[in-house]
Amino acid sequence: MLVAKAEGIVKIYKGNGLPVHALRGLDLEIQEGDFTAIAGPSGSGKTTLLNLIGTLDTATEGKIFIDNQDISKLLPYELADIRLRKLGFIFQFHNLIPVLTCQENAEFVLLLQGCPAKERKERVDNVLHDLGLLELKHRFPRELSGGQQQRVAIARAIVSYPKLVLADEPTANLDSKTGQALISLMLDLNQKYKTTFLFSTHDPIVMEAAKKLILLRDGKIVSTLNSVK
Amino acid sequence: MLFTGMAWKNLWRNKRRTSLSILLISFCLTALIFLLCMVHGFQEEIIKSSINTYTGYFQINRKGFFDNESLAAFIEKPDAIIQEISSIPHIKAVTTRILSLGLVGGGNNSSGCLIVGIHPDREAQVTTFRNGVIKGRFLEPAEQNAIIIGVDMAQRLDLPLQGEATLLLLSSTGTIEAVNLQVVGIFDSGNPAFNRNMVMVSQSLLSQLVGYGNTKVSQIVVAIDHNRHLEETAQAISEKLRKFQAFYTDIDSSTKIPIDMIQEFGDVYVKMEKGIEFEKKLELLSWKEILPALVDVVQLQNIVLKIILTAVFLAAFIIVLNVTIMGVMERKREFGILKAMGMRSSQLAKLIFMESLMMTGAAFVIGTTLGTGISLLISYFPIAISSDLPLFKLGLIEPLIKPFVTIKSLLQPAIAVCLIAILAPLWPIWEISKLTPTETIRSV
Repeated sequence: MLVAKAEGIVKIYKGNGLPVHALRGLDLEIQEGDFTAIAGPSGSGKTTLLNLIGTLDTATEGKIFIDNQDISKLLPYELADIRLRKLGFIFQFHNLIPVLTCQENAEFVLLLQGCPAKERKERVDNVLHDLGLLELKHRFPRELSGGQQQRVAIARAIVSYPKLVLADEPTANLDSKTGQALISLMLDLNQKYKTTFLFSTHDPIVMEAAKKLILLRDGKIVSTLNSVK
Repeated sequence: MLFTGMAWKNLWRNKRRTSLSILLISFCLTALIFLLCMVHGFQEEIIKSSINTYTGYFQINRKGFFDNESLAAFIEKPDAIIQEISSIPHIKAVTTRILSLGLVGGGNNSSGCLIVGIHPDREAQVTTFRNGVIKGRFLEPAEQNAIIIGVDMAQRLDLPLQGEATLLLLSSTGTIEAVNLQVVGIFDSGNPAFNRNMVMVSQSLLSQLVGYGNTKVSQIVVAIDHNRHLEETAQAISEKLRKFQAFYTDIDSSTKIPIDMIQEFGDVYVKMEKGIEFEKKLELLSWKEILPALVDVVQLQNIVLKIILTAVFLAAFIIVLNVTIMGVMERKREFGILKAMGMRSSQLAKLIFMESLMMTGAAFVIGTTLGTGISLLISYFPIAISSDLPLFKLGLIEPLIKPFVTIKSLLQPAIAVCLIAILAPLWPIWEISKLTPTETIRSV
């Protein structure tokens, strides 16, 4: 089942100087249960693509479908609803809300969704348990290591059972051991909850773990490799 | 609850900054409330003093009486009116007066004067004039040969206590009446004009001299329990007076002054023209109409207060705006994360708004409690200040700082704080709503 689709995506940034072509007519399909990594050198357009699929930015040309819904012409509040109900995000750093505990950070999306308290607690506890964070649930982000913080970010991203989790270089700020553990964890979640993951990465560990690897260069897909492992 | 809890936590991220801001706004509010209460207390005192000294809260006269102060403008059978209005709630006491212009002489000097004929016992219930007698005593009821005069007049006419004063006046029938009276009291009313130009005699004596025959008076003076009941009492008295208006259009009240007379009595320049006619209606005047200068003083003070209020408001506004902008701008990336999680711009605005509301709310509670508490405390235990200031030398008000806590004193700062809470976050909210999620996420 198709979770996300990009058709002829062009993204041009118009700053003060010359226009910058970040993406040049890109097509992409993400199927349910995919564990896909987008790799490429800096400036190849990885983060731009993730932002466009994540409805955080709008394409200059082309169409993007999330769960078969064309998001190109949606209003900002409708895009916010798509993000709330269908997408999960994991960023490179400063992912968590510092004034909220692990539990509250993980719970936040469910609160926004209006999920009942009992179900909320159950789902948060289950996810925190799966990620080995149950003991740390009352701690604030500043009381956690970088790896633990990223695990909380993953918990928050998957707790609402989104169609697609977008992770922008999630291991970039972690040591290789922690990065490896984190990727293994996400693979487990991919298998257990059938959560679809789309990464942008430089990290060989992530590329190695991905079921599909898309290589980007100068805003174009140069190759797609399946089942690297 | 989601936003409330988060806003509260966000507010205390930077404890020192938030605490300092709350303290600053609280201090502004405390100072503002105290200042308002103090000025309102001062206004209350000066109004009360002016009213109680002589004017009364209301005066009922024939319309146009104050333009000429002529004996032709009398109120016929005032007792019926007094009986009617005495039942109105908040009316504390009512008295009548006869006013006439005349000449008072002592030794070789004479001076123009306003002669006020009073009921000494009823006058004491309406005004505090009795307390102004500094030598001798106040008048006794129906006293026929006594007069009290102002301290400046006594000095100018060289009239001592127990001295003999000659009173000369023109009666309503045009005859000149003269009588010798004993000075039984010398007063200092706190009003230089009264001290210089006013004398008081018993109403029965003056009625006889001017030819009113105990059935006519110049005015009815009314005292009420508090100035805040002024408007409603005025309305009630006007209602009651309506039934007497018909009577006053029937009687021949247009008594004419029989002679042309222009005289200069000392400082008082009196012009009486033959044939003046007065409107036949009764007129109710409140102290605000009788003492417009006092109203102007109060209004001027209120304008100054408004300027101070605006300055303090702007200072507090800038404090809250600064804290909100700093709080928002240093969390730009966090707002991007929240937007990525599906939070709408309107929800972010609500969050920022609640933070501002909580900060100003906390300051409001502290500032209002302190401001009101301090004002109430000092109103019970007034602070004495130097009585050398010219204002206090007049004797109109006591040299005390005595705040007067009113709803108005609290309402104005409350409205100001509400405005701050609403207006200050608008700019940061606008700034953050303009940014796309990617722009905010890129900020670190």
